[in-house]
Amino acid sequence: MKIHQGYSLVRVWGYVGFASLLFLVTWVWTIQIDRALGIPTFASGWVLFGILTFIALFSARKRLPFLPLAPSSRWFLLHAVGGFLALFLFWLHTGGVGSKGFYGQVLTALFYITSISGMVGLAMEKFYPRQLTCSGAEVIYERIPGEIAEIREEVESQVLKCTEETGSSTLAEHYLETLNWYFQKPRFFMNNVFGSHLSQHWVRQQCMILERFLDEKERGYLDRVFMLAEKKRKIDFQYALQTLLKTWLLVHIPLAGAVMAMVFWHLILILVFFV
Amino acid sequence: MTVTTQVRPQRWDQPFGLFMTDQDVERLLTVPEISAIEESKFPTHCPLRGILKNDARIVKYSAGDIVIREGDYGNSAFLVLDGSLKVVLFPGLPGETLGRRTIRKKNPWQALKQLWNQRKIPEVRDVKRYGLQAQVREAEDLGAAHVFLQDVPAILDKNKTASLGKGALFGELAALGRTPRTSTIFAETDAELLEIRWQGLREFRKYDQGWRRLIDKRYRANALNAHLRATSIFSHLNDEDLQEVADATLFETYGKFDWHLTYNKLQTQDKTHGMKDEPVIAHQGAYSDGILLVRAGFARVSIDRGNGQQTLTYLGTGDFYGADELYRAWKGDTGVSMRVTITALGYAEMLRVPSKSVEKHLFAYWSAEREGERHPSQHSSEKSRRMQDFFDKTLTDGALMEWAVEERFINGTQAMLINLDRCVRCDDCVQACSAAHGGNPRFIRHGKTFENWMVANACMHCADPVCMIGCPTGAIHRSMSGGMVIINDDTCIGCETCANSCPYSNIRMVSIRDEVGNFITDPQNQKPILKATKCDLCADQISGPACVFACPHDAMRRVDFGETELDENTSGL
Amino acid sequence: MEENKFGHDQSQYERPNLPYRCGRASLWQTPCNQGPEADGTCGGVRECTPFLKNDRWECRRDKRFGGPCEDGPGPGGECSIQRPPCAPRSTLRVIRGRLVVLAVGAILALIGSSLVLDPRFGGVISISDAGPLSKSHAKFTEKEGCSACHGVHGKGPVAWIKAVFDNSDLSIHCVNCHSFGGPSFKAHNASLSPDRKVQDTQCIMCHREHSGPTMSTRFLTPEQCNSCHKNQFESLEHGHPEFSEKFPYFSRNSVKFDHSSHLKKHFDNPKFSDKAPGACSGCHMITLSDQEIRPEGYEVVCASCHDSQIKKKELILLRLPELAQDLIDRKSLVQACNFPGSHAKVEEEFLSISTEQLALVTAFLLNIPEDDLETYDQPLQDLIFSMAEDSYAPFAELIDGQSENSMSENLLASLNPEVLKRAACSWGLNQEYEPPAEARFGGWYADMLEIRYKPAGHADPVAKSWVEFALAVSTKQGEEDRASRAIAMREQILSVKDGVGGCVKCHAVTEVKNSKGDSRLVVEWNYKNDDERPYMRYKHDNHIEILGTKRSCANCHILNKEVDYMASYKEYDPGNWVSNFESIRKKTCMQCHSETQINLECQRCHMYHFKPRFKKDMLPVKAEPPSST
Repeated sequence: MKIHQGYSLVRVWGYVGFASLLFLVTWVWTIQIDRALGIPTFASGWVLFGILTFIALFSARKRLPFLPLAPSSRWFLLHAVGGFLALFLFWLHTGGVGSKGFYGQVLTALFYITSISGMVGLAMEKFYPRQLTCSGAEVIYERIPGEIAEIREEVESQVLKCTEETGSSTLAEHYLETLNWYFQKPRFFMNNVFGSHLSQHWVRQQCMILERFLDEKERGYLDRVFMLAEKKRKIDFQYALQTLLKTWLLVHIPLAGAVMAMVFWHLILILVFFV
Repeated sequence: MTVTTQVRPQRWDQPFGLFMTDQDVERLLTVPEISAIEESKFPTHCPLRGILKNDARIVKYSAGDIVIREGDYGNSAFLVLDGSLKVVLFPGLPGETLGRRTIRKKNPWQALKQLWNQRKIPEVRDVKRYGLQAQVREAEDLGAAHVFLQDVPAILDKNKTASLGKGALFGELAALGRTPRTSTIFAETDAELLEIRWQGLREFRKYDQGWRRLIDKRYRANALNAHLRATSIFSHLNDEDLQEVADATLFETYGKFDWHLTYNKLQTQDKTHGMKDEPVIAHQGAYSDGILLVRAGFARVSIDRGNGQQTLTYLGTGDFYGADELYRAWKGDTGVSMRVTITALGYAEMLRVPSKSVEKHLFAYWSAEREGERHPSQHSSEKSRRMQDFFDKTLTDGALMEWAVEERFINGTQAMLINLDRCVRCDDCVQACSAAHGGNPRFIRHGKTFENWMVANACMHCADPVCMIGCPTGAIHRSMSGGMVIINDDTCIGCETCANSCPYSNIRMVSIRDEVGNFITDPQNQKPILKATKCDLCADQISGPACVFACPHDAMRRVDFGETELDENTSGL
Repeated sequence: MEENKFGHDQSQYERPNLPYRCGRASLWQTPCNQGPEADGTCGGVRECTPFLKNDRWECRRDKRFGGPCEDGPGPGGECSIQRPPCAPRSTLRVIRGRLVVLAVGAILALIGSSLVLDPRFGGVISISDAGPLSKSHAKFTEKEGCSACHGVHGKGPVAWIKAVFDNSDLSIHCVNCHSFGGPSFKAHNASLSPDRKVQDTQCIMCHREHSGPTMSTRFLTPEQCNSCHKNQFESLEHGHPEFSEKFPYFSRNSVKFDHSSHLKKHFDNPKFSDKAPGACSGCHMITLSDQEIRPEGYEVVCASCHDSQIKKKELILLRLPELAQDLIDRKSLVQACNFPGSHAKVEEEFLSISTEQLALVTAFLLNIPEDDLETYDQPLQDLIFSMAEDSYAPFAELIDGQSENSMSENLLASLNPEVLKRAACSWGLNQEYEPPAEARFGGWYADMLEIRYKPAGHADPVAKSWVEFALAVSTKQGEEDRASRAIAMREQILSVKDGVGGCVKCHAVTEVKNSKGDSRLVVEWNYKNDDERPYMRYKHDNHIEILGTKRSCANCHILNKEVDYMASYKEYDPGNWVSNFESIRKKTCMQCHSETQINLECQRCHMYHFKPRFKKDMLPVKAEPPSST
């Protein structure tokens, strides 16, 4: 059995080098065509079309893991490198930043948003996993609701027990006033996305402000509630980052589909109307 | 609402031999080895006749047919009823001669068709198929499926062989030890054999003293010789010398064969205590009195560190330790002692070759052959060679190995290791696994984590597959080629033994459903029929394990902890 | 996650391939164990399906979900743990799939709607709009729209498929409006010699559209010109061939103006220096000048110095030569001239009053030698007598007899018949004719022994006609004598010094061959425009603007003092002519147009098209010709 090797920087640079070469060749080719009074946009256009089709096939590859096409990691690298190559080819093809006609502008806008979303996604996929690993919790995304519900039930049972045992309702009141909101669902989404420690601070604060009102027994319950709150905080962090890691594709892929549809229309128009 | 039902499968629903009749059983009872068994010792739910009828079968072989092949994994032992067979001794026959059978992988069209076979209902089974399957298999087993040798006389001429005649028992090594067959055995003349699958053998051993002694004795004798023969440092010995060494070798067992039963308890214990409870094979600082070879199981190699032990590495089947210390002592160094402590991890079968034999047969040979100092480490196993590296490891460097040994992940040959610094939690691996299995994933992307490594709950295809111990029907087996542990869905009766046995919780029971989505239940008590499922390493897929193939960030690998270099190169960018 | 949560009894497979997820989970409640059904309904309404065994209902909850529940099923066999159904939600993956379909569908809808709804008829937008046109095209194709250039627009799918393989659709439409002096689809709109293989051109090789209103014709880079031209070079500075030897003075001027003599000698002459121009712009019109800078007309430029000279040069129509005898019948003469007396002949020996020779004009007309007294005596005296009787009639006759057209009208214009009669009457009496006064104001006059014509000024029509006449008759005489007399007359008339008006002093005479190979001489009366150089683009005015009006001409037009400018005018063949000025060399232009200064692309000096024109009516309304009423 083969143990598949991890990708190496050598491979990345190899792909980048190949892409650069392809771009240079296309560029030189267009210059030659221009000098010969041909239409250089045809050359750059077909190369761009080829690259776009290839990177769009990544979607198809993901649905065929049982066919011996190359390992998905190589496809991913090629997709990313190909995306950048497509961007440069796009600039070469349009001779500038975009195009003037209405449908050209639609295509340009869609292409740019797709590219930008791709780059944002690439950055996220590179930096978020480490954050997730260091967060102190590891939870499958679909199980988060269950986990949170469980924590909430546990907290509520602790709070109830506290009230029953000690007769004081301070903790319960605080829970109803403030902590309840926290345990409803994942909170501090934006803060987690941008890496601030607000949630940690908030949880600590909420527990600290209560200390002066509680006796020792109640404090024991408070500690348990605090621990559960901390646990939830970690899960919230997981939730925030994993949500982004999953939902950015809801921008990138539909737009990419739209781009491909427009590209096909563009192709038809060019072939029919532009000799 | 229609409810699909299926009568709950029983242990002997699928007898080993479909055509075993009561007459056959009567006949078998006259065979000396069987007649010696006391029938009364067997419990009512598992009578001797029942075992003979259901867990054994009479198989006929023609001259030249291969009965067992070296290297194959097998689940049965053989008793010769009639005829004569030959055992091919070391070095054995080449693979082509043996007509190795491989798992038939899907062709590209079949692979592509899977795209349309994805179900939206989990764990759908076609119950009608279950009945048919056995017959097909049976037809295969009878007659036509035997591989046979092309040129028997030539083989007899060129190779060293031993003969087996009536009453001989063979094959129990592989069946009971969950290890590959050690030799190729073929029929010299037409032969009739009683093939006993290991579940039956297990009952014989359990309930009959005679068989127990026989099996144990044969187990020891054959296991020993085979192992020594395969070890590189003794490969230069001729048969006589080898036998001498074998006779001198001590056969030691540490720990419990069913170590998995205490695994969970182990996990909750204080770690330092846990290690102190491990059976010690050799102490650090003690006098070294022989070379230790690992025959089966795992042994931890560690050194004292503070109040605990730092694990340097572990030894598995085929590894050995101690040559270095002995050699230096023999050369004249004074005060040489064991540099490490060796303890049994769960279960370890050790062979100890005493220093006298080592000096006579090994060191003398080394000195005689060569001038000058020859460092023994060059003759050591792969593991021993790296031993020096291990001594230099910092606590951080060794932390991952420490953890892997502690969790007994070292048992796995295909542990699913996920680099959490690369994993974007996209679940492409799970999607791929389900795509390769008709819409049913076979692992869960969670598991124990250490730093940025996660060992996910996917079958690790252990070197010592304890899941196979309790299976009543042999549905969970080691495949004939490739060595992965596979559950045969058709023969699984859903008893949950394997799922409970697996210390790593990598086997899961599922309730099966029909095409419409209703649970298939037992008509008698409406309890759902369960089947055991687990990762099969995509044995029938062209692409190999779909999970690894599908990860877009190279975050996942199927690893053997002993062989993997886990260092900076495999962490993130 | 705690350790035991991984156990095979606690944790079931996650199935990301299923399309639904528990609705409770989406509300952050505890999800049920069973999960949604395949059809999207809630699967967790009941925990189990109770089983009736021996008249008792038993709970059949899966062991992994807790095993049989404490309370067990209700008396009627219903599960005791029930909850209201949730509304299962689609998973992100399914939503993603829907979004893809939506996005692609939106695009297709956009395309489809714009194909059906034309923007001109109220459709929202044109999905095929490739960008705004340049201003001129946008205006002039307003009515026809896209099909002004794209023939395939508005046609069905079959036409579209054909259009994919057709390469010249656009260019064909360009020539609906644009045309050229030559073939539209050849390089430089010229049919070059057939053995030169030059590919046909398409308009779109260079001209592109849909880049906005300010877009102009695509400018070619030198590399692109090089794509056809064999002689390839980078710029004016590097590799451009030297200009032709005579550039730009290829053809002989029609008016002989020796710049050297004028600039160096005549203008410095104190007699004329006050009339002389201070700079080149004194004669040449430099404002709004293009490739050519024409001088002003004669009246402005030359008249002030040369007018007096013209009037001095007169035509001698007839001179009374030395006569041998008096052959005229006195009586008739007296009668014709209306003399009062009889003027009887004197019986003395005849003494000619004149000792001159016959005028060459007369000699030619009468075809008599001007020096042979014996021969010309009689015809001349006959002519004089005819003149006394009929004045100009004999001349008119003689003149008209030379050609089919009646040239006498031109040649004898403004001739007062009295002049001829009186002179003839005097000469018939062998007397000099005494004019009443000096013929100061020009025109025909008789003086002593001559009939003369004095030109009124520049472009005097009679003088011009006589020059033309002399040229015309000198080339078509058959008989040798006549021919030589005609040439002699011509020589006199065309003489720079003596010719009437001195026309030829300034106007060049050129031999012209017609298609049959016949040659004739022509006086170049009019200013000859500079050669047409349709592929050159040079404007004087912006150069002058930059370089200044005073001395800038001399920067490029350098006087060549050594050359004999007038030499070639002695011949009628204009080939050997050299200009007063040194031909302009490349380095002259490179003084400013070089790599480091003003760079010179090919198209700055060279035009690609040959005489581009419009053939389409640009205005909807045509001007009506005036009606006849």
